[in-house]
Amino acid sequence: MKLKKIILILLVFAVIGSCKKFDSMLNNPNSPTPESANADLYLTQAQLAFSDFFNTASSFGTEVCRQIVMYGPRYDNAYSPTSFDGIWTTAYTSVLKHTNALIPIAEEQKKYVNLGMAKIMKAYTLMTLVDMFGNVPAAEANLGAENTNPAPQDGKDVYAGAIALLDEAIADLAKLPGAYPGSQDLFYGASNATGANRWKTLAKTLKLRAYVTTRLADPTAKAKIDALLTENDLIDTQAEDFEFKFSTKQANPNSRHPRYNGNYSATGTAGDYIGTWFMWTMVQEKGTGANNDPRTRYYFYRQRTNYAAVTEQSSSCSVAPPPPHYPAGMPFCLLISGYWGRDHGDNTGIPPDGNLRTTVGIYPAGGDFDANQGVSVGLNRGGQGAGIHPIWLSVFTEFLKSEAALILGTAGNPRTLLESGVRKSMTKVIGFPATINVTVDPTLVPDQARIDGYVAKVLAAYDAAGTPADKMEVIMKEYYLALWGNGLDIWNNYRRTGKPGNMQPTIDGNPGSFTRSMLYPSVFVNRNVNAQPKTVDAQVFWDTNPPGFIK
Amino acid sequence: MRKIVTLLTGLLLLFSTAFSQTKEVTGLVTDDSGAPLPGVSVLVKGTKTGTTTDASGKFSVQVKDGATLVISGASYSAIEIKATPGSLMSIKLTEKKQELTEVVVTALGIRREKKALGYAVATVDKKALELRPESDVVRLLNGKAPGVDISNTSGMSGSGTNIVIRGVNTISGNSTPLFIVDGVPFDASTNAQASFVYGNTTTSRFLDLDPNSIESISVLKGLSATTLYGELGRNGVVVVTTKNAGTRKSNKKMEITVSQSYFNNKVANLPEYQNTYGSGFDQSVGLAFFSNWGGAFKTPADSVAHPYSVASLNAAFPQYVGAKYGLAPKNSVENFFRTGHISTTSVGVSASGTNATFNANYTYMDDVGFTPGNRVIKNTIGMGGNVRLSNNFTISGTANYAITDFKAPPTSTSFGSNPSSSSVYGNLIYTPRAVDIQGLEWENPLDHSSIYYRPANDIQHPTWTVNNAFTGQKVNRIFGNIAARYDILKNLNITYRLGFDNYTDFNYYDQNRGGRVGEVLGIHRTVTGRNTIWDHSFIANYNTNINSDLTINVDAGLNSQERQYQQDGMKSTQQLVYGLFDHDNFIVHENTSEDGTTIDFKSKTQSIGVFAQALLGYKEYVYLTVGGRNSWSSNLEEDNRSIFYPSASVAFIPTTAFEGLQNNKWLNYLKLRAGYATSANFGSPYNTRPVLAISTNVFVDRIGTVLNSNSISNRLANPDLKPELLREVELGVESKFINNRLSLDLTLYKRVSDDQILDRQLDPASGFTVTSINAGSVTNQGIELAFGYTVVRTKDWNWQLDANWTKNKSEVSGLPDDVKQIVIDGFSNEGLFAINGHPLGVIQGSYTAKIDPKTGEPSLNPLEGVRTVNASGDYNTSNSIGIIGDPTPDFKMAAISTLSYKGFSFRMQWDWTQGGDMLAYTPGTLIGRGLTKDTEFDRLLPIILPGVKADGTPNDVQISASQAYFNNYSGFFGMADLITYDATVIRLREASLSYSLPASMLTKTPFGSISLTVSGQNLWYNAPNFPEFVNFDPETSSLGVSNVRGLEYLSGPTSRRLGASLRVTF
Repeated sequence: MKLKKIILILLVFAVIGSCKKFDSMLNNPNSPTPESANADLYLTQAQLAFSDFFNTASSFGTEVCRQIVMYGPRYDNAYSPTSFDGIWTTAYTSVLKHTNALIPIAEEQKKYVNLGMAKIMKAYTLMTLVDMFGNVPAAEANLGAENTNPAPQDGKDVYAGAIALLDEAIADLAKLPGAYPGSQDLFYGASNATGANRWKTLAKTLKLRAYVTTRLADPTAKAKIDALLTENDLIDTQAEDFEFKFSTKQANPNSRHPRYNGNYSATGTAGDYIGTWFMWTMVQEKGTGANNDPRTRYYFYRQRTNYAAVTEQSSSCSVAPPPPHYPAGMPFCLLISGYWGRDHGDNTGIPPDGNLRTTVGIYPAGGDFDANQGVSVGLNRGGQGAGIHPIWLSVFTEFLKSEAALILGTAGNPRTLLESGVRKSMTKVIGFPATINVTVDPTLVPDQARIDGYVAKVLAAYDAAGTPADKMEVIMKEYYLALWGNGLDIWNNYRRTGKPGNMQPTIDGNPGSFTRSMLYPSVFVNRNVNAQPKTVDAQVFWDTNPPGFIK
Repeated sequence: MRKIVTLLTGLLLLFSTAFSQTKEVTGLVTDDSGAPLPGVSVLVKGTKTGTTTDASGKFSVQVKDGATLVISGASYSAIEIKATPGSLMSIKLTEKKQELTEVVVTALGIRREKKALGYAVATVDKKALELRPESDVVRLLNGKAPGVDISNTSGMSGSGTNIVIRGVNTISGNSTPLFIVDGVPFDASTNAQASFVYGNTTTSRFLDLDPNSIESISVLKGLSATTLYGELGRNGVVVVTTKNAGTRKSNKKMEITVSQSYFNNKVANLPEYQNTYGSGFDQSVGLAFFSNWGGAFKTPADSVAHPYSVASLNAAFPQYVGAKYGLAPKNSVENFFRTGHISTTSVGVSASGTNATFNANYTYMDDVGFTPGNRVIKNTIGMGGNVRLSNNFTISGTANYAITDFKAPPTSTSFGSNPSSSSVYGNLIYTPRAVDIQGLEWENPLDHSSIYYRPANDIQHPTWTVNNAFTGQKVNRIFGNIAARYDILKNLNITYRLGFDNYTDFNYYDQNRGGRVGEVLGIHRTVTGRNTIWDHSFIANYNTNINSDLTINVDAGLNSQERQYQQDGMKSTQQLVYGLFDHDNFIVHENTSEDGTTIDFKSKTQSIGVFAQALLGYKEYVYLTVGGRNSWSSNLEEDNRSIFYPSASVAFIPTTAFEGLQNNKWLNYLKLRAGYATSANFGSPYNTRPVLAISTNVFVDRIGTVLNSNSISNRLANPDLKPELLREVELGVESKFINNRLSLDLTLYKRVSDDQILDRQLDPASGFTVTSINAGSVTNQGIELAFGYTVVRTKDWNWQLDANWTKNKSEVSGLPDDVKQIVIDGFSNEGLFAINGHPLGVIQGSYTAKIDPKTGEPSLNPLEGVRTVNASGDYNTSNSIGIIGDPTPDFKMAAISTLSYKGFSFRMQWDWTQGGDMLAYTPGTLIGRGLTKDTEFDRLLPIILPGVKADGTPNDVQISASQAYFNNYSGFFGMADLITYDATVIRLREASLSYSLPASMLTKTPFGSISLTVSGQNLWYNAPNFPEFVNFDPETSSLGVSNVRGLEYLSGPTSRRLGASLRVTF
């Protein structure tokens, strides 16, 4: 029995000795502890996530507004709640979480530019969440264990909070920063006061955008806009354009424009369909051939320049009559010259046309310039993916001002502003290949006369328009065309103004209500007790237009 | 095996320390064959004097004149014999025919008489494991033990296997039982290298065991049986005893066993395709379509342009310029598969001396799968021995070495459309009838790229996949143990045992450039995982007789276990030169897998337990076992890392206790048992402390600056995490009737596991996506029934029927109010969920929107109400997901018939799984794309889907057959409830006919035995609730090795094996 006692004593010592060791085994050996966090690396994380967030938000708008195909067939089943899980997750766990983490550190370290950047990205993200979903968690969001069921907050309050953040950012950016972010700033590379001021200008421009967006629900919009116009510190030159720039790095990591990735594949097949109606507005609506939109060859790349490859198999709609509810003159299925797209809400099976369909061009995705090559896409074509996300361009500012001047009577002549918007867009697009070191066939670059001719046509239409609503139609059509690459603003504009008014209807004659807001994501509805699903006809707070106002 | 046991039984005997001066009697005890029997009890009748035989079967005892000796061994009939002093007595014991005192291996290798156990233990003998056309030990257990649920992941040779005992007890944790090989833990995990979506078939590590070297397997099901193993035993324990650990004395002519088997390996199930209609949609005629809703085949055949008569292939295939392709049905899919074979060669050696035994085994197994490119080669070598030293030490040990080489083409999941990464089965099974897989070249000779029938060349030719895409695992594994036992006193011994299990698991995923899906520029991913288990046990055993009625047997000890897993590797993409898989030949190198997870990973956990168990026996009819263990684990913070869990069980044998029940002709044996036990689960490591996620090289800007980032992990750490607590009550009856011809063994159990450590998915708006919490309970209740009946028992004939029946029902409860559901596996919008009040793992997915026909209101239950149809004539889809099925079967049953006549033996095993739902894309796709005879109706007739329109009136919208089936019933394009089927299946799992040469024929030969067996596996099955001509086999799971079943994403057919084996001993 002695032996037993000795064994027991030994065992007890062994147990106690080993358990002390257990403490060190609790730290995950695969990751560092949070104490080793670097605030500058949070900034990188937030900016990349912000670019991602913009891209996804833009995609949905692009699709419901006909620039890229929406398969539909109805608005209420075009997307499922899970379609939005990604953007929701990116917004809260990437952009907002890291801007929130960054703000106190930047404040403490007096990195005021970093601080301003964080607040601006946060404000844009919150406003975009409202634009997409209506009421969303904001004040209760991102509290971790403190609140795992953040309740959605009225969109109006979220917007107000975002504008307050922009004001804070403007104030922060006016302070002398302890250090400039330099190359850590992926948008402006702010390494001095000029760069810092660009962010300040952006903050003010985003306020302008917010006031115009919410003008239907805000009786004080005019005064607010006028104040900003008077101050006149808005993005109005190309140098101030707020855009995320991709590079040509194909892998490790893939740093190319997402639309390039999806369409310029090694297998020679494009992934997206461009909306038939969108291409029609560029290549047929105002004129064909040399009279079409001067930006056409930059926007679209045709894999085939004719329809020789059209068969019943490769394009089933080519042998079908247009849906009976399509008005006369409404484009359907095939256009001209090989512009191969897909109609709005066409959910029929995908034919084997990946190497035939028209795809994104050099602007803004960094694809190929359409010089009538008529060959299928490939891996290293054109701009090799060095595209941009046009989050806010000086072009857009002109159109916003034009709309406000026309509808609210704010300062400026809507016609002049419209012309300025169109011309700036031409300059931006035509000048774009040079910024990514691509030389295009000079004989195909639109000359000044062609641009002038286009502008003249637009202005003639504007002048011919009788009512403000008709004039609005002209402004919004041009804004729509200039916004290629930014579907979010297109969708906001459409819900606010109902323009452009002649968009192609869905193939299904009864598509249900247009998407006035997206379904709540499944990660929100299924994991949060304070979330209730909603339908696509729910209108966001600033959309006071009647139900059924747009299709 | 039973002979060994006598050694232990001997220890239970009474000893007398005082005996008078008498004469010495010596003797040798042997069995029928003359092999010496150690540990047999030799008792002088009418006294307490006695001894046991030593290792060579000899004994010596002092007796008075005229004494009678009672010789008894656990599995031998006791005999009485008059003591004859002076000469060596030769005593033969005969094995008992009807075994009542069966001995089983219980926790920690302790052998107990089965009648003393207060819980159920299922044992599977080597006879059910040897010479089978399957080298996965766990698959061989299928249907052989009640309460054990086993399922394949696919029919691919070497694919992983799921094993769950008495239902899944955990929502987020692991449910694989603990494997104990020769007393020490054995890693049984399945180290998948990417999520199931990428489908890289992964072998389960119990594949490294050689079924031919196994002596027996005990399955310890309940917690009462496994308490001593601690928290690792909470999912049940599979106790494997290899022949290498044997202490069996081998006799002459039985020392060497050689066996050879050869089996064919064929596809068990392919759909019955229709040959009336061809590729296309809405009766169109062409070849380019993915679906088979085209026009009818004609005689003479319609012809279309040859798919390779396109500009891009003109240079490579001048012969096809302007060529035509005839549209006629081909048997491409059938011809794609091959007849594989399984060849197993096994040699075993067994030798014994007076105080030592030695065993060795070598097996070579070559399994060529029915899918081209699939093969498993296994070499297993094992040896073990046991030596009893003269100083009361007994040293034993085993060492096993396994080399497993598995390869297969990739099998990523497919929803019945083009899969997102290479998959040999992905598009194959629904190949349109007119597509000639064998006749259409698969490779562009100019650049080796895949070509196929679609003009956009967007589908990868399956033959290209087989020739250019490879996945595999090469495992080198060493495992075994060494133990030293010291007998301090006759009835007190201590044992120290060191167990080790160490393997290196080299995985690769290769694809040449030129594919059409996934990494089309080529990929070479290599990952090496290293797993180490060190297990130290220190056990003391004491047994004594308190008085003539009361015996006590105590085991107490300490166990420390350290498990380490570390993996590293690299993924390279963009192959430079076609054909070579070497990281140097690739342009881009990364350390993330295709699913985005980091390849490099390490974890180390340790647990320590102190345990004790006492077995109290009263008059051989009441047995009480009381035990407990305290465990400490390195997975949780200090306050929560220790837990004590007790267990108690009792067995009562009325047929022994009451004289009135003894020697009854009808009731031969009755035992009642009851047990209560607890266990714990400490969860997976590293959930209690926050980490910083770091990502290097996340973006490269236009001037080439490489950006890095760090981020706050999306997992919210929970420092207060506690262990899960499991409690189980088990009741049972064992009985034998009618001269022991009929036996019934019934077990009822209820297990509750509280404070589940589960991954709770969070609304990202909280800032995090997941956290570990203690919440919710899973209750498993079940019935296990084993039944045996000897129909015929004559001198030459014997017909034995055995059956077992299992039902398990689970329920999830107590999830916090703010947790609506937890995804267990699958996808967040289609998968298996834990929801309060429902069985664990119900299927949720999209469904056809329905209304209540009475009120016209939308139906709340996805499966009730009338389907609604939209203006286009298709069903409306629900906006959210709902419960559309429960994969838990109503019951599972296996019936085994063994009929023998002299040396012949005919054996069949039938399995029946009743109920349980399955969301299956294979039948959905075959129907939805118009491939099988199920859709061979007149397709020109319009179809009106049964249902109501928006206004509640019956649907009258006529749609084409293609639209009706493709848009609604095809899985990917339709709704999940329409492709969820009742997975009832009846199967002839095994049948064999064997013949053993009678011993009399062999007496003059050097052979001890010769037997020949012809057998087959998975010979026939019928799953009546799937579409008839799809011939779908529901015994597959696309989730890989997982806690749950019921999802199938074109995971391929199952296998049927047929062959013969020969065994010779000499």
